[in-house]
Amino acid sequence: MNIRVLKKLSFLLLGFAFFSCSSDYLELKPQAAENSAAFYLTQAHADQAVIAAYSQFNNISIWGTDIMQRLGDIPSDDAEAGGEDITDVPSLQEYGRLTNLATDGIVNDVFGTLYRAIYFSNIAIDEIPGIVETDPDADPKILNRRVAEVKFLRALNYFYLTMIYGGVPYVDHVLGGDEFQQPRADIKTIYELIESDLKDAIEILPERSGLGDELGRASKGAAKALLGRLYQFESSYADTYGGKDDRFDGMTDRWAESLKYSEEVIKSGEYELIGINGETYETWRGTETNGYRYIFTSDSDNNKEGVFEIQCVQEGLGYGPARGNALAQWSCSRYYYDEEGQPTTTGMWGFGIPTQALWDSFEEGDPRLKASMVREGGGDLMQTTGNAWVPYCFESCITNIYGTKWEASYEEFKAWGSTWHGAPQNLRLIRISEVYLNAAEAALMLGNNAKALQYINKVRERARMCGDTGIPADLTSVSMEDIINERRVEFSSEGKRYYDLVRWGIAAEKLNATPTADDYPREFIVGKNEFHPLPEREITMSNGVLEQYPGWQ
Amino acid sequence: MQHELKFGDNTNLNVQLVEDLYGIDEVVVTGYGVQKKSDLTGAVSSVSAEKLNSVPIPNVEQALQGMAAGVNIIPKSGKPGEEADIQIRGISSINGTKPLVIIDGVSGSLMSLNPSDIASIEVLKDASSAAIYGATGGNGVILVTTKKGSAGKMRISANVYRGIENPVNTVDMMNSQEYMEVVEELEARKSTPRNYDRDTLATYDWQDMIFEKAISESYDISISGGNEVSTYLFSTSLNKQQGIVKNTDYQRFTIRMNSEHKVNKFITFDEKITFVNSQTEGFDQWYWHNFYNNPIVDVISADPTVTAYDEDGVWTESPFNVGNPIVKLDMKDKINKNNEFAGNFGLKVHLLKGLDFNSRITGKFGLNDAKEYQAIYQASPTDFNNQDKLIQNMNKSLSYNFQNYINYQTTIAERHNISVMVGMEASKWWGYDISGTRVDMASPNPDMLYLKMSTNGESDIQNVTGGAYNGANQAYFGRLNYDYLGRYLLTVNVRRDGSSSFGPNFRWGTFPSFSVGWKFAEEDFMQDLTFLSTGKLRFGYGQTGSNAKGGFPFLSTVENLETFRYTVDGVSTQVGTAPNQISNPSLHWESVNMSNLGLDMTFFDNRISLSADIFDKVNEGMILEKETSSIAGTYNGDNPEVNFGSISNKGYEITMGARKNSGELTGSFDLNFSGVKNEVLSLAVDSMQSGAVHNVQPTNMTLVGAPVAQFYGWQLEGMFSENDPTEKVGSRTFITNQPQIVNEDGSITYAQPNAKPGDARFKDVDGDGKITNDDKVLLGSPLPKLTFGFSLNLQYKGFDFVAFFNGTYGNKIMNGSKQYLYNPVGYQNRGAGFADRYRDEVVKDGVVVVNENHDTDIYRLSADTYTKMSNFFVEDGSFLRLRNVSLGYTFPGTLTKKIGIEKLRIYGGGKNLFTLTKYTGLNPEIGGNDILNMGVDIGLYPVTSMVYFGANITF
Repeated sequence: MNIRVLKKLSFLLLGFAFFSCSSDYLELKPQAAENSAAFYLTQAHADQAVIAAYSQFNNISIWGTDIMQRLGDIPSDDAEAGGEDITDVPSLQEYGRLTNLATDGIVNDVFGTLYRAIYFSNIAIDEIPGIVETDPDADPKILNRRVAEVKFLRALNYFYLTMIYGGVPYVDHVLGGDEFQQPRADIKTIYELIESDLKDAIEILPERSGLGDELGRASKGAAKALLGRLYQFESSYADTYGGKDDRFDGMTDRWAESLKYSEEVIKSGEYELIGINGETYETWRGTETNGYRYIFTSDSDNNKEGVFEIQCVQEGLGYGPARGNALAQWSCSRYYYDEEGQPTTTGMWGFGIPTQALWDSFEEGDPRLKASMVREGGGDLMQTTGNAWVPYCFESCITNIYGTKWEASYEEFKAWGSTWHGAPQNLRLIRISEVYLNAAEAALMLGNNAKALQYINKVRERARMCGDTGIPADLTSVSMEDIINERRVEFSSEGKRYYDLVRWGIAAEKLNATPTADDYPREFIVGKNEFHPLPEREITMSNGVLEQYPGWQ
Repeated sequence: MQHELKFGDNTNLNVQLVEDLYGIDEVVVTGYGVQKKSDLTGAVSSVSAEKLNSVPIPNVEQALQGMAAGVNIIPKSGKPGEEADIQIRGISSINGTKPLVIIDGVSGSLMSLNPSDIASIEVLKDASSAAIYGATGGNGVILVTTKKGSAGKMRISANVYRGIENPVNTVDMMNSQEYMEVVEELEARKSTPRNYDRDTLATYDWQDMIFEKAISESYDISISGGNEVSTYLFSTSLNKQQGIVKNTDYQRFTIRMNSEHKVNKFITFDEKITFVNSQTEGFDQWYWHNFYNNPIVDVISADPTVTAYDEDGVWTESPFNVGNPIVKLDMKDKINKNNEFAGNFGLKVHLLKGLDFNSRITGKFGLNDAKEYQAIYQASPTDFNNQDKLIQNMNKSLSYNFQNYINYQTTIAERHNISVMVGMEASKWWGYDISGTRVDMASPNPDMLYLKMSTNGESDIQNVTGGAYNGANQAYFGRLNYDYLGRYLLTVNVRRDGSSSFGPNFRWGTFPSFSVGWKFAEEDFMQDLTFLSTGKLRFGYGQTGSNAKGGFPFLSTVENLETFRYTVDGVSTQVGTAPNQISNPSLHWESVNMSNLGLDMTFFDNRISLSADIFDKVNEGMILEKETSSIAGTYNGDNPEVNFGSISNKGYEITMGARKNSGELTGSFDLNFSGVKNEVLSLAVDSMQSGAVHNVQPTNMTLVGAPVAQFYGWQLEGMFSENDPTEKVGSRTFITNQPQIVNEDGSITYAQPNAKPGDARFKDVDGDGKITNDDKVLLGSPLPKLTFGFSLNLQYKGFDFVAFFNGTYGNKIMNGSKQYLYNPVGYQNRGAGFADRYRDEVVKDGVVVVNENHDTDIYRLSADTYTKMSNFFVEDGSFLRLRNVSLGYTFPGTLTKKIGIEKLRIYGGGKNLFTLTKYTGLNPEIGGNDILNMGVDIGLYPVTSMVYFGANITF
């Protein structure tokens, strides 16, 4: 072999040598994404992990239009599906008729969103405690508080899951790849987790006044209010279904605890019924907006009425991830009359419209009625282009009533383009008036009528002070019927009615007596319709480990 | 094999140079080398350069359409510049069917090639031929070789064509009178009739208003030549295609410089430097493949009683609040520019007789640049934009590929021909993007549209964002070709691939293959069969694979997505961080096992040719984002990528040809057809449902034991009529002759309690008296039983003629456009067929506003019928299309040479002039869907027909 050959050979060897020794050639670092192993190390990381758990509230269409209205109001006797007519969004109309199916995408979207929030909470609960070891500058108090916040979030999400679906899979840690198929746990088992999470949160979370500017975070008051509500549900379920329906096994009467926690919130001095002294406020609706109406404007976001609010802001993002409130577009009047008397579209859709029965449940002269809805012939005006006030048009409104609670001003509503957008008012998930009524209900159930009367009258007093009719007057005695009706008128269009009817056990009685406005004789089937179906997709994914309740199978 | 590389003691070997063996036409590129076509033992289809330039071809994908058996090319739509779906030998993965495209040895994109630059295209279809590309060859490999210059005098060659395009067809819609009747029917509940003089109302044809004639043109020129030492080819091309819809034009500009230099007796150096600029306009691709916001859907269903613009050129408003579809087409001001600069440098060192060392390094630089301006406008109270916005994106990508291999070729004892190749390859890619948004621009003047010209301060909505990506592959490979007497052939391949997308323990995969061939026509005992010119029997078996789709799915990572933010103070949002994808540390390569049996024969002095293949291809460990239960926290996030599932494709391919090479009239006829039987062998879940056209969902079902993506839904059979018996219960009336359940209390629950005359009857398949999901059945397959193409080429004196057809047989289409053509909701216009729907008379204010129509089989305006997936939507999708027909004339050389032209050919013809199909939608070729919802037509950008003229000139 001559030199020349060797020279040429060296070419070859050079080429091969170049790569054969670089064993780490394929070891790359991901770009623009952090390796989890390098995260959850500092207090700032803890903050971000917690924000991610809150962020699932951003899916406002889930919380606003779906959980509150589609699943909470429309199947009840308070609201109709609405829209253009009874063929508009067929799957939505199904909810009004109680003929909705497990295959409907909405039950899946809601389920998925709530479990994603639980997943993010679980990560934070698992990871944050270790940060004291890795970040010497971290304040252990803040870290503890962050864990308490996500425990509140996990509890809240589970509370809604059980309210909507009944028993659901019990997931209290980040699931491994072989744990994705989980059976349904009893409601009571989930309730125990919620209870312990909320008690942990109550220990650590600051009161509302300790939140500083960050009023959107979970507070001690919010955790107590939710715990009071949990005990209320458990007690109602026990009273209504105990011994009769094994879905509710293990439920016991806990009215005393419900009362205790609700009263602690009321007595904390952190909250007040806005407008109870007859105050008026300047808003886009006018210079003298009454207190009850003011609560639902963006001006009153995070004021003292709110015990826990989902934060809504307008940011020009698309509808899906938008941090705006979708209920304005979804639920408000679909048409108005222009100057020539022609029906003209408002850009809103008119879904979830109030029923005549809801309208009738208000005492004549109750200022909350006018602050909640309008009806044909009422001569009411709405704000539209250029802040002009124009008459509502009920052309395609099957009940001839539109809800107005979630209306936003034209300025707020039009801000981000012409389609699919959100308004800035927060979603009021727990208001102080609800805590009063929770306390009233618990007191009544405990036989303490005087206390019940005191709390219900407080709510009525605020309503009365928002008008000049003297209505609603103080009650002189209180019955369960009074509580039921007070909740109905105080929280219309706030997504509570259906869940309430179920826990009181009067859903069949109320709903089967009232067909939908298009005369569909809906049937609430006892043993089935207490809960919405689990998403069909989840049943499939679980390979049969997760099962539907009877009636949905 | 290592042993045979020791070439020191080769003196007793009879070595022949590779170049000496090969005739020019018979050589095919096989990946890291070339092979005589007659020695191939794998399944390879070739398309030669002549076929590419005889008719106008805007891009190489279209050139391949219908040309090769088993290669199915489905255009995604008629929108200029859109890629096609390419399927080679069926659907072997739910992830997609995109084959590996290798251009001059390195992976690239067919869309960015100037078709005139191409010397040849080979499609490697079976495992034994594609396995040299191992893990990336699972969907087949398309090899493109570009032209080189040749020694001799300088050649200048130019091609030009120009054509006029029109939509192949349009959809018949209702006229204004019929439309108004639907409006009245929708509003039957309201008391007053619409105040229009219906009879005199004009009908405006929106498709006619929006679709415009489009010009398609292409110019290219190449200069080539060289001497014994260096050869060169320089080319440039410009291809411009107007869209038939406003703001959808496409343009591609290319430059190429190929050259080759013999440095000395032993060393050859070559380079290929290319620059490609392409531009698209208007809406991004996904808009055109989405039911919502799809401009085509909006155009077709627009209100026919109004025109696009009034006399003053102002957008009109529909009295029924149906959007004016031209508004968004007018207002979509977006331009997307793609620049790619690539250099490909090769070195070949001739070490010893039969032994060559090849090294090739390629680098690519890509810059994608998009600018969109959303201007202020007001078209109607609900269609407006009151804040202008400028969005700019820039995306930079870089990659390199380095490969080295040696070939050794020898013949022992004049009978054993051996050639060996071993090599390695490594590539890396990385890139980043940056995008910025600002509102309230100082001026809409294009010269002022830069981000700094915002009059507004920076805030959350004026955001800047960006991300990055990277990845690397590495491989070692080897090949042995052996033949005995040139008659018994053997090929063995093995490749070991590594990818950065897999965890350290699963990073590498090994992909072996072998194939054997027997040229039986050369056997002595066959010599009596004089009609047989050549004959070869081939068999191969091997493994190829597929990589993960990219990124680091094995690694647990966290991200701070926009959707992870939240406002806790009601004013500003805070950053949230969480995992968006669940990781899977044990993710590994997908593997595709394929066996192939083939027969090649030619008869009568090669005038008749026949090539037949049967194959069996099974994908195992398919990589898929596995849908998981939402309790894992995956909702709205990315599911984990896992290896699961198996799909089998069994099929055949037949290619036949006949040619006449002598006499005044010469010509050829070529036919290819293929059929694939697809079957899902296993899935991680029982079934996967997919597909949605508005409310109609799911449309497709993939389940074990059936082909992928079967259509799935209820069966409609007949219609409820006004003559059906009824029963009154309370305030409600039920039709009684339908499936039902008698309850314990004696009452009856009907399967369709809401049914009214004119509604469809749903078939109660399981006979349980209810219409449930259990009554859904498979409604047919979107996969064709047969795909075919045939062409006729004739030459007579200076004239040449080509006609080329292709088509499919036996596939079904889910005609999603029926969702708006028979829309049960809203004020949009509907298809002409809907005018004959079942309806009752409606009288308002004493005026008959809707006429009764009971004698029909078109269901009434009813959500129950038209919003559920059923056989109503499923249609036969078979078609035969005259893809191209052209007539050319080449002027006699004696004439043209006088004016210095060596060759001048002019031609004219048409593309897509004729289609035979029963399908009622716009176009029977449905592309652009995911595999799981194949064949669902949501109303795509219309395919065009083109009439063209062109010329080829060589100086």
